[in-house]
Amino acid sequence: MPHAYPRVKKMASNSRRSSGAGSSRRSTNGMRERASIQYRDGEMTNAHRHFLQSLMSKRIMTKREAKKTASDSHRLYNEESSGEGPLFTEFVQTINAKLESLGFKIGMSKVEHDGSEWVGFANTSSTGGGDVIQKASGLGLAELEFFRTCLQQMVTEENNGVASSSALLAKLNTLQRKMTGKAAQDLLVSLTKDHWFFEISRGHYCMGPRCFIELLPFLPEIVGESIEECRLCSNRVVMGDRCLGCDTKLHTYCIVQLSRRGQVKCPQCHEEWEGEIPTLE
Amino acid sequence: MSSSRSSGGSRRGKRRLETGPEPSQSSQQLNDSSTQSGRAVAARQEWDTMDSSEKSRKVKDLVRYLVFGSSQKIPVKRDELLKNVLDGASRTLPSAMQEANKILQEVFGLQAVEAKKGTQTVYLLINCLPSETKDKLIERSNKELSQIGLLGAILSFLMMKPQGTANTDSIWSVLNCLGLIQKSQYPEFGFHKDILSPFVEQGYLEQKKRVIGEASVFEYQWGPRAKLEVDKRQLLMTMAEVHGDEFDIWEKQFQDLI
Repeated sequence: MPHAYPRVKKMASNSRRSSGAGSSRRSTNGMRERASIQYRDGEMTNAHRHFLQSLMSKRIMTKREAKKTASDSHRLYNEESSGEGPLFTEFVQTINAKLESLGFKIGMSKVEHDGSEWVGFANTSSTGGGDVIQKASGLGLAELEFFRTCLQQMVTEENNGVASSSALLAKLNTLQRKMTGKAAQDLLVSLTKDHWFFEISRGHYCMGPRCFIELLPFLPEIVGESIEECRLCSNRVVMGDRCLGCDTKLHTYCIVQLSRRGQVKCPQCHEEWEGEIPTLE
Repeated sequence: MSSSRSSGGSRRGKRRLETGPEPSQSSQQLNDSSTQSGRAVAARQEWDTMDSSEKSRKVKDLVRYLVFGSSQKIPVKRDELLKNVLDGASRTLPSAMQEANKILQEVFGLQAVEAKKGTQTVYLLINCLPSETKDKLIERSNKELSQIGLLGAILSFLMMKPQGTANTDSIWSVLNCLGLIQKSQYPEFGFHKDILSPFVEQGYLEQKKRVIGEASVFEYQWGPRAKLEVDKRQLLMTMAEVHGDEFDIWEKQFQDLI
């Protein structure tokens, strides 16, 4: 009897070690390989559907969260495999192959103010009429008008992606549909909470992850003017830095990424980047 | 039936069936069912003769419409689908819906289910993943969680009522016990003037107006979404747990479920 307890304990610690992370690199990789074979034919499984439902319910996740949800979904339906499951990009590609013809996709995008990566469920088609923002947000008409006005303010050259709440509220009297200052302020707070906007400093708002994933392709249409493309990543750039020589605009995070590989030169005029090399936390 | 027959032909066929003679009760019934199947065949044919690219476009639009609708959890009205997706061709809806459901199931693990909301026919998207896993991992916002808690309380209360119906006052007598006050707005439930209204909108509760003499009262019962999504058995077990009772004390309610 006295021996029973330690023996059980020993077994428990053994099994923990063998299933723990990093115990055996080879076995983890082996499982990963097996799992991706299982998914290779591009068939949707309940794990894919479960992940998609989680994402649609939450609308937006950080890439890290999304990866975890995908591997948890995989494990939920594949109990016997304790590995990491399929590669995240493959997993998402399988779903996106099915979503494409329906005019939806799982979008991944960086957020301009800090370069962080996000994953969300996006509408890619504006056919069938109606307003893209309305469909995505479910907002009423007055709220939509204010939302659009906020975006218009953010993308102006002098604002470089950031608009203060006082500047935004000052626009209220230009709206066709009346809205009180209090209602507009509440709306800013709720749009920030829903990850449409981000409060970059007290009372100053910029576009949040959902704007980049769900609205970026439609942004010129929404704000009624063209938006430049970053020469480094060829995505649209609202908040960024300009080359002092040729005025080319680049994402701050793209410059940071370039600077890690050595001297920064402007991709347009090939001159050395004269502006300050920014740092991101 | 050959697929080359035009939709105009099938429409004529339907009219003939509808104006058929109606001599006696029993043959009336017979006639009804043949009208039904005649209609179904005609509808099927109208769909079958449609251009295949047109069909697939409509099915995709239908899927999109249902997915957008359900992202706000609002049931999609049949009339709206007809108007905005099928150009009013109501007879093609069953076939189109069947195709849309294949896609919804394969890609999203969801299914569109027809339900009645008052006098309107609506469609709800219901999760059709295996029930033992479907609620796992899905993270919900605090607002959603508070709403789920409140909804659970209301649905369990209604389940215990005779005929599953209760009026506004008696529902509020329960909500008052939870510290909620009628006509107040609560941010955690989304600032609605009436905290029951979003549940009615989403199809969890069905609201009926009843006129008694001069006054009118609202009566509530389980709505179509609750009937499809909420497991009564599980709710009953949760209630027994909350009350610290053995499960068999609710025997009557339990018997009613089976």
